[in-house]
Amino acid sequence: MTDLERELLALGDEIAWPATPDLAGAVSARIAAEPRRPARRGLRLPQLHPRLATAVAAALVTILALGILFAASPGVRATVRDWLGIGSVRITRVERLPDLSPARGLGLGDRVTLATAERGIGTVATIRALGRPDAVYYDGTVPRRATLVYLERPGLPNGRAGVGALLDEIVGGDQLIFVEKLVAGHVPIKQVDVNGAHGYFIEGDHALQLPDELHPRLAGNTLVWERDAVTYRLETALGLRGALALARSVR
Amino acid sequence: MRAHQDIAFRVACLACGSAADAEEAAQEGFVKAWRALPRFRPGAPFRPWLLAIVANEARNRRRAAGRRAGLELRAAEIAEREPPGPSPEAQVLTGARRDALLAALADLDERDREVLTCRYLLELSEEETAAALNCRRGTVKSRTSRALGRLRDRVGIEEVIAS
Repeated sequence: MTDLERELLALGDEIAWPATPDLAGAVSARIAAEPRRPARRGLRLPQLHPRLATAVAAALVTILALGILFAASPGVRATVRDWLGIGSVRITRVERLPDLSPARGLGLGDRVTLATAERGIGTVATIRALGRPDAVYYDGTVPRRATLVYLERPGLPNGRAGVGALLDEIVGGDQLIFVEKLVAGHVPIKQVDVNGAHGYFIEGDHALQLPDELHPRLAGNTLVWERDAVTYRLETALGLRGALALARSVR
Repeated sequence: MRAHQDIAFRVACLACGSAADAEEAAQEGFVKAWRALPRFRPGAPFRPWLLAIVANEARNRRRAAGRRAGLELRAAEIAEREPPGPSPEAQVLTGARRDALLAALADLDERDREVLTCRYLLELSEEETAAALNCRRGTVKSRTSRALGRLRDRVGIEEVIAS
């Protein structure tokens, strides 16, 4: 350590920082006043392209209907059987799915430009097979996440998320399980190889739990893999072969 | 929570430049961290994660407020200061040297000032600094090295001018 560094350390003792407020007290009071976790900010429909907004709204109606269906089933609670981890995603095998309450949104963060998302997470890979994404979202909480949205098109039908494909790219997830996926026993989970990276394909409906969301939402076929410390989560209605073809074009 | 509130609040102050916004940012960061705790990996370092959340909240508030200037560092008055700590560094600085260092820090580019403040004035580790500044650990290393060089130049110039 140099003399200058020692002097800076000493200077630290002499800085007049603003007095720290009673954060612990204030936060405790806030937590105590929250009987339920507030919903994370939802998909901002007014910012969406009309076609995208319609697609997402249709998806939310579907999720709402399915949520009511699940909620009406007595004793549908998650019993953990096993789990797999990949990057920031934990895939948990359960006997049955938990109650899936009416969805409030897809929890995508703020709609941004691709350049803004890149400032947040570094390079944002796109699905080359689909071209430029129709919308990009960014969530700067930890771990940081960019989400690319591709609308329905020939060969890419709408999935459970209400769009053709949803690609999450999550970085900085070494400290937190960002996405929890609850998969019922009958839904297959297959090990896959995505350009040399290890991954899993969940073939069928499952519950997707995002941070800050009180309840999970219903998700469809999903491919999860990790490459260069980035976790990718691709949700589409496509089967394994189609999803792998898209995933292998992600760069 | 009490164990981390001082450092979280100071990081928020640094990131948003306003004590009032820093209080809100730190509160929001704590609440978000609390909500995410069930998914926190056992054994992972908690403080960098918490500081990253708080700093991100603080930066968002600063952006929303359109504030350009960061936190202005100033030395405490003699009467406000803590009694000398056990470390020998606590007694190294003379008043003139302290003022020269503060002036030189204030004259640095904000990114340089932030990294030096995190690493030395707040005594954050490289990992914590990277989390607070939303950059990679390698960037903290290189930025710290360059910032120290520029600070050294400025302190030297100040001393020459003073003499």
